[in-house]
Amino acid sequence: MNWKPLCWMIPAGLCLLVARADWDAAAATITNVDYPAHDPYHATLLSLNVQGEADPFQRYGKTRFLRVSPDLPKYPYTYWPNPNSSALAVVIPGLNGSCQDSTTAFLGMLLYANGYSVAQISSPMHWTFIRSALSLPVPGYVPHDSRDAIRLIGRIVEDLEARQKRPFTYKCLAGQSFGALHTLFTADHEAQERRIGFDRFLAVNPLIDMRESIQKIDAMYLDSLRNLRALGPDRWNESIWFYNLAEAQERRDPSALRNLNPQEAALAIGYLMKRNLTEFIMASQEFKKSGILSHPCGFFRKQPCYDEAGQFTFSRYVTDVVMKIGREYNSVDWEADETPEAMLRRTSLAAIADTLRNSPAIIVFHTQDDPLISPESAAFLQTVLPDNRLYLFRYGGHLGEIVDPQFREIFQEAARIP
Amino acid sequence: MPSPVILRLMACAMCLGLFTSSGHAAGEKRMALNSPRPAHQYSRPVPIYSKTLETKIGNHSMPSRMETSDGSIPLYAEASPVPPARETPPVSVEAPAAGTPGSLISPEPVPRLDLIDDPLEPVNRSLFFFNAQVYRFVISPVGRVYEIVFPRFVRNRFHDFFTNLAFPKYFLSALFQGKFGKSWQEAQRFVINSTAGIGGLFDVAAYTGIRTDPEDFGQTLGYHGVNHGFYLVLPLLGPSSARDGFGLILDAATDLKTYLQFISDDLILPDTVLQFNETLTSVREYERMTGQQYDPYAITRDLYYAYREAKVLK
Repeated sequence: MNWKPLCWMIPAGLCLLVARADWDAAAATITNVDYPAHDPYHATLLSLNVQGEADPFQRYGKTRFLRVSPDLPKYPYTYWPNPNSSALAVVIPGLNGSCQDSTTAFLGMLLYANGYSVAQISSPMHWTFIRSALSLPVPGYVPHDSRDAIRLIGRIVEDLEARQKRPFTYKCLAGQSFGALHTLFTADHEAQERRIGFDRFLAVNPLIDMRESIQKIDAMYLDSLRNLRALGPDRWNESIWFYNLAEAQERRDPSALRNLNPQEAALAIGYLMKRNLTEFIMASQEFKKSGILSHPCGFFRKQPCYDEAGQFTFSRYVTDVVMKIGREYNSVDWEADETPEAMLRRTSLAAIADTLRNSPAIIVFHTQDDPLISPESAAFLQTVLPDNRLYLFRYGGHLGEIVDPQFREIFQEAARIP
Repeated sequence: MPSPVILRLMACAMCLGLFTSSGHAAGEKRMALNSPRPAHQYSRPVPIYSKTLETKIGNHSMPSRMETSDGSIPLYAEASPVPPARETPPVSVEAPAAGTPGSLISPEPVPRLDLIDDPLEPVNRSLFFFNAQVYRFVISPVGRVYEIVFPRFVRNRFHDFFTNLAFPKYFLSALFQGKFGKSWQEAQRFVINSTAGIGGLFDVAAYTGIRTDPEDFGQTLGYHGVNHGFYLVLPLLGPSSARDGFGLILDAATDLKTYLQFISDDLILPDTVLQFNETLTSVREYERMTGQQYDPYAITRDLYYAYREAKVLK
């Protein structure tokens, strides 16, 4: 028998094992190798599958309305009262998510199971927020939007406490994706001036570097569409792709995802985000008369508006719209010689690194394969958050880890009421 | 109790497909609901892009379908071979290098998805709004009472009976598309459900494994090369197109339930109940979908188009 190969195989194997263990420990990574999708785009779309699970919980929620200020229309939010609890959790959805958004309601469901009463608001990019709670004509400048969110949440807490005639003794704010970014900026504002008194902030897949993320989102739509169209109409049919996307969204069954290949899944994510962008541009035009579009958004004729809004990418929106509005309204923290790059840096997590580092109330959940962030961004999180406040999942794409039972356990443990 | 005249008018409207949600109309309604399949089918195996499609588009395999060598369909990318690079270009969504001058925005126009033309948008939006109000203020509240009176089991029997009556429509439209296998399946289903299924009250054929995805005349026209034309919203019925609107007339003419009311006046009320039963499922889904949407009209239109295109290509 030839023993020679073992002479180098055994040490090499041992080295590999040690290296793997070191890497895991350093990164505080949850190696969820059993996660059903290892492709980040499919993994991202898997997050849609929690919708079915959240359905019964959603039906139990009650939509309530309040006015943030007397001159604005009423704002709707969803509330799940937990009669025996004096703890309140407020959840914020991702880009353009509503107060009935199912994926966010799933997070609410986990918090409810922990004993919280849960209030779900809409994203600052959603039309209900733009119409009834946004102080600028357009959303997108996160520090300012977060202040609007604080104002709104403050009103909701007042309203709920007045109705139940007792104060909440423990408050938690949770958000996902863009909502997670708003959550962390809210934490920063709260660290400076404690207005609501949140005791816990839970952020699931926050965008880390805004510039990087918006470029990736744009590329997911533009590059994927270009690549797929290059196949020719015989080999790629847009309608069928669109139908498959609708199936994957609506059937709430992971098997529906098998109809989409990774490039199509990337396009699906890019398209859904792009659609959200178009919608909140339209909503800003319709409710705030923002002047972004040259066509009026009439009740019976919106197509010219759609055509015009469809020409915006996230990058162009930031450069042409957010910058312009920021300058015009002298938004919070706005500098006289503002550039898009500087503005995007201030809407990224690096701008609130000190709060992330020093606030023990903040806990972040992220994935290493999130298609909206780069490994460098994930590394940034590791530098500012200690291991016990950062849970980094190996797989899950953007938000897909929420279907993982491990995530649920860790999230609920992190949200435990003392 | 509504007067017989009103009932007759409602029945006539319904028989023209205005309140239907099976077959062709089901497609339209369900698209209005952002849900191509009825809720009760969610748990069933899904017919996905099939060999029919692949033969139709020539020798090229469909990039949106991945098959393993044994014919099974892999679920996830890692468990399955991703289509080779020449079939599907690699995913390239890397952000441009930061700091590159002008890298933040591209000067190129942003491409749009090629969806259906909508030259009648103001009229369509008016009708969409009208329909939404009818669903909200008439059908939905009446439906709440209806759901209490008729439990789910009874409602499912109504649905199965209703579907069985539409047999000629499904059979002929499949036949005219040259889908003889599907026509044969429809015939088998009709015979089995009409006999063993007690006049169609039970979908026994489904239990024996004979399931089908219903065809309609809008699809038949599309199969023979007729384009959508333009988008159309029909009063009470919901989304359609010039082509599918015409197909609807043929659908109604070949659907047995169209003739129920002519058999006897006594059948008008049961017919109305049946039609209402079909509509209600759709309206519930519609309400779920439109709850907090900024523009349900646009989403409905795009999904309708994609759904009908996909049906034709299947």
